[in-house]
Amino acid sequence: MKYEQSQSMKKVQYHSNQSGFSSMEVLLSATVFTLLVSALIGVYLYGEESTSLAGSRARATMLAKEGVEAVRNIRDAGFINIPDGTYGLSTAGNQWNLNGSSDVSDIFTRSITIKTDAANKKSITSSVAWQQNAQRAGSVEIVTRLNNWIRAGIGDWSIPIQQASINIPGNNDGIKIQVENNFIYMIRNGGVPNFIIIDVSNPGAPFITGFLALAGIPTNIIVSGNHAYVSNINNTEEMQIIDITNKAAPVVVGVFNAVGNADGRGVYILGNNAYLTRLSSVDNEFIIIDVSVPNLPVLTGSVNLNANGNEVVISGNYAYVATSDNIQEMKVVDIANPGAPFVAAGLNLPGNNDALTVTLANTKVYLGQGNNLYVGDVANPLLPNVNGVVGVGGLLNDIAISLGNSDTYAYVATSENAREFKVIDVSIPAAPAILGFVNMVGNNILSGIAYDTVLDRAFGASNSNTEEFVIFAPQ
Amino acid sequence: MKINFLTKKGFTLIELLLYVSLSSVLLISTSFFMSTLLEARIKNQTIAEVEQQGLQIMQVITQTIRNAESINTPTQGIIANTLSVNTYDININPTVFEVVGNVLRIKEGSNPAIDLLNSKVKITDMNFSNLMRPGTPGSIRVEFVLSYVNNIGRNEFDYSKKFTNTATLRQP
Repeated sequence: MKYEQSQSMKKVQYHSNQSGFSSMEVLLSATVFTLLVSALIGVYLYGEESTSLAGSRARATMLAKEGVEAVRNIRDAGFINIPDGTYGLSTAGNQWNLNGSSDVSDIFTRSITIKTDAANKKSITSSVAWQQNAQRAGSVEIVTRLNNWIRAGIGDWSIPIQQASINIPGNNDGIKIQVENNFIYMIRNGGVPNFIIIDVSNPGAPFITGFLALAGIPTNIIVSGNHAYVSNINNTEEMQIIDITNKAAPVVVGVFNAVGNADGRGVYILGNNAYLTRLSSVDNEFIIIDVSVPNLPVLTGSVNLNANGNEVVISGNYAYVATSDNIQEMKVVDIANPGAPFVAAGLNLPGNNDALTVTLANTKVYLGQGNNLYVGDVANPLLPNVNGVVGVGGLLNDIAISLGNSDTYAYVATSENAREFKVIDVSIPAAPAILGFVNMVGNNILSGIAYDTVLDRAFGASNSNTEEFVIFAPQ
Repeated sequence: MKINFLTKKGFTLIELLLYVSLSSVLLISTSFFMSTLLEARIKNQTIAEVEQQGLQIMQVITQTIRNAESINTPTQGIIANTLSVNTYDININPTVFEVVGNVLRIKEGSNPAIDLLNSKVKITDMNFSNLMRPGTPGSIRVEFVLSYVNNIGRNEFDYSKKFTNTATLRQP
């Protein structure tokens, strides 16, 4: 042991003599220590920076959110206020405005992009960009979708009211009516005028902008683009084409003289073809007319229905005609070849009353027969069938469908004196039900009805001598 | 042996000086590192305090506005340092946000006012701007500056940020 100890003592002494080694050790340990401490400090410094960056990001998110909220408020004042584009925000006039293409606050630059997704639907992208530090840029993006919920079409039609009316000079009856882009096109069964254009952009105060005196007695009307097409009983003008570009001065530009003298009853337009149906005669009741040149309508094809063709609608390769036939109140005409249309199928409704009117929405067909409204399915046009029926209390003269509200409402014009106008809930095709009605002043017959999704108003044509034109509104 | 010892002593003095200088460099740098580290840690806490409290009160305010039924003050186009809204709960109407002595308080109906900030931070330049379009339910821009209370004027307690957000009332 002693020997060993003295040996180790010797060793220690020997080592301590080499002082250079000790400084190296100190330097080494100091370096290691410095590295460790630097790493530790780095952690804290970077930690501090990232806390700060996180704060900036949070505030950038708030600014992006502000962009979305501001656009929401601008939208609340009217969907028209948010046109597509890229904008910044300004508070000029102490209200939110879209201004320029971006706006800067503090270190943040914000831009808002508005894009149309679908009709009445827009997506709003609010993005904020900033420089986090010399090397890194940051950005935050918030996307939301705004709908034009203010858009009419969601009114309560269970208690409709008569909002306004117009007394058209003379005592002739309003027959049919069409609405397009805030203008009403109405026909009467005679008198001057018998074709009237009414501005209804403000449904509370409609006014006549123009009119015409058509030859004969108009029976039905359809509007497409700059032209109105009117079916007529006139023996040389079964269909009249009216240029309605100038709402103050409509003008007849073309007439079509069908073979024979049967009265024109229904008219529809799709593409370059007009479809005319007539009262029964030896001549063909269903006629296809090429109207690509409005002042020179040309017969394309026709087929005999062996019954009155009262009204017609077209979808795809098929025409659906409301007829007086007792076993085929609705006839389906194949028009795939316009030169040679043929009756492809029919739908028999109970009883022998004539189907007077027909309207189509997607795969459902709405037929007015006698006092009943029938909801039919034409998903397979060759196998039409009846889903449901509801009595409307009087002769059903015309039907309009609200396409803008999930096809849930049918607006009908009837001859029931106490409830001329009715709203029918057809959301369940098997069980249509009367939702609301309006009793016009006096005992009238409401012959024509039209509905506008944007305005959420129904427009009626009646035989009243003081209010031939009426506007119905939801509450 | 003696000569040897004396020779060794001389070396030891130089060594001592070397050690002292080395260790002082080491100690100075260590304490510098330590103080930097502590400063960074405190600054980190300061920043976190301001950012988190700012975020929190902003959320409370904007959430209240968004869920409000109507705005009492400020009215359209007016900027104020107090906000008063009516909610769908009549027991807490009006709900008022106000700044009293650099502290943000919420007062719900007749209940006593409650401080929304702790004593470590102070709020200044509180602005509620009603920037709504006419005929809309209301849109309030909320702006404030939140600072760490720094009575001794030290850098690590010095942090101040501006917060901006907007809340638009939902349609009734």
